[in-house]
Amino acid sequence: MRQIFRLEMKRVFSSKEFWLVLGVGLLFILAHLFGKEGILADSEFNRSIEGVNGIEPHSVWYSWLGLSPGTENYLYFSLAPLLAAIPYAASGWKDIKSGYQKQMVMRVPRKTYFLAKYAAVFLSGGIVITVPLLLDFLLCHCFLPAYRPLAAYGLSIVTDAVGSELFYTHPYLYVFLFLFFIDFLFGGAYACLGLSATYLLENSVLIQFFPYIVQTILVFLCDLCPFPVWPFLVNKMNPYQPYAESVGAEHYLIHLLLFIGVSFAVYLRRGKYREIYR
Amino acid sequence: MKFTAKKRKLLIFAAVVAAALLCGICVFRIWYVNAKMPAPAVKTAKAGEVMLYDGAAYRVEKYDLLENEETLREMYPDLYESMRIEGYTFSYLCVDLVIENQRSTTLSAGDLWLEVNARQYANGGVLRPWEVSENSMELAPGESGKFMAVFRLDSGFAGDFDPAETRLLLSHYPEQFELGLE
Repeated sequence: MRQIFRLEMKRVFSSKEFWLVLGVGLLFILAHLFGKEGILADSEFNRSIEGVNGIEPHSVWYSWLGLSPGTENYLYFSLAPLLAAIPYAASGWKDIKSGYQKQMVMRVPRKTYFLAKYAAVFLSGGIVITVPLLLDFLLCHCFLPAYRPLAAYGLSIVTDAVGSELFYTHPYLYVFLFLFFIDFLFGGAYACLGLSATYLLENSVLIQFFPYIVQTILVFLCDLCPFPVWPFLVNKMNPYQPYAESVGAEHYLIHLLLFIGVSFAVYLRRGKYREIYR
Repeated sequence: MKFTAKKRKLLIFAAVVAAALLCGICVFRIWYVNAKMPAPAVKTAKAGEVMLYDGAAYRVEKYDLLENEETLREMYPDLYESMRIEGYTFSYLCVDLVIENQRSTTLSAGDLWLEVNARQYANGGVLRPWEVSENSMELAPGESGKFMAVFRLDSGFAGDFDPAETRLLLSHYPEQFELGLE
């Protein structure tokens, strides 16, 4: 299992799509830092950095890509289901078409191959979502101070948000927990949702778009549903938590378990019983 | 493109050197930025104590938490009309402040922020003249006045309210002033 997983991860890191998505993440960072409306172009920021007395300098906690409610933040987290799926979600489909899967299941047990594939896709989705955010966090620290955020200013997450108390007392802990336990896991879950479409769709691009389409349709369907299911299914990857008023910790958990559970069950079950040697 | 073992080693070495250099630059920048713009020095004053801030002396006289909107309507009908929002129920925290302008210029009493237990904050703070004038928040040089800062708070606030953990914030970087309610 470990050997197959290592092989799959090697394939992830040598795929063009993986580096392409990281490049797209880099573009988001550049736009966020140096763009026309980027934090370093902000006149208030420039005034404060020049040391005008009385004006508080911007802080990392109000300016990081994950915590500043701007265009880049909105676009990054809206497109996250797509970005997570591009690197490796379609690899299951490509393996079938190229005959790679057939070769693998002749050499190792089916379960081993499918588990290793699932884990590699999950990790690829998590990595491509969290690495640009981490890099932006580091770069923000190179330009902005990081003193403790004040809830009173109302510039960052609202106090109804999950973990807001942690954010205003231990902001680093909040950011790292959110990155590794929410963004990473959701990134992985979206990528695996794409993988689960391997046996449904006959086009690799459609498979890559599948999580994004599912997420969009689910939120659209929520509006038609008479029950309040919307908080369970809305995209929750944004550390700024724009939907904090209606989304609680239990919604995060159920959303994650639903996506991971469904993708795991569909991919492994279909993979286990599907006729491979046709 | 295939690399020979020697070229490969050279490339790895160059990448490691570049990464180390970038890390060094980042560490230096982080140190430099935080040294140039340090965390604001916090100055605190309890209720009744005078705090000098931006050329004015501030003192908290007392506070009153109005958990019922009806109380605000009876006590300050005009204030109630300007702060209420149809369909929402709020609590109101009224803090009586004495401000003395020690500047040689007119003082416009600025915004005050409220922070509670390091996590809750007012949903829009309003500084309202209490005794001096209904429509003006300005004090001439040497003049002093009483003000009532009224904060509209969400309905869940009143149960958590702890005056010992509640403070008014006045920020004038690189210092931050905090006025306690007790």
